[in-house]
Amino acid sequence: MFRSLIFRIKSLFGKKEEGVIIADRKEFAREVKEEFGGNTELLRAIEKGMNKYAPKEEYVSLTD
Amino acid sequence: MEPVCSHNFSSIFRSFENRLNSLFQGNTKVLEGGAVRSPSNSIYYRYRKRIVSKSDTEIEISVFYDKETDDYLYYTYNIFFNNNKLMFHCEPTHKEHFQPHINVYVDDKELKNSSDEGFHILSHKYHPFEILDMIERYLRR
Repeated sequence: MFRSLIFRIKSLFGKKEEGVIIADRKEFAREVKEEFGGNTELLRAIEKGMNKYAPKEEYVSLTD
Repeated sequence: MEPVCSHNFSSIFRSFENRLNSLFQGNTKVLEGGAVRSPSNSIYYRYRKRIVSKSDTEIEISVFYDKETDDYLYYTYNIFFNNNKLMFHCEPTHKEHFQPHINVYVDDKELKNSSDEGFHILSHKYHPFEILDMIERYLRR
């Protein structure tokens, strides 16, 4: 809970890269699942990267 | 041509986006995507684009870039010429598609060998500006 709060605060004040849109994780996960539905190998790789630095309560699953 | 890396990914694709839109200017029927996106707390950049001209030239792009390994996780550039398609593809985590390659589709069918395996014409890792040059040449004809 505390870590999640820190992440949110960081994302509000952190350095934003010009021209990059920070996407909502769930929305991003939904799009990716829709596009690569049949490609489990790729979805696993994307899932791994998405969860690497995310607090546990924000983990997403793309291979359910 | 400056190679794509995690530090210049967004600026290269922003420039790619502007040049692609200017090529299709005044002649666009369908337009989707176009921004560099990155999910919060994650290691990816993503760029997606679909653009169709009024004369039915279609370009479809999907790119994932891993900031940590500083390499693509996935890219595909589909260039449609009527019922034919050139597909520039790279997917390093895939056991067959790990090398950058080109697939060719003629009359909606993939070119295959006698064992019914699709041809993978091995290529270098394409820079988005090289793809752009190709699109530009095709549109000028």
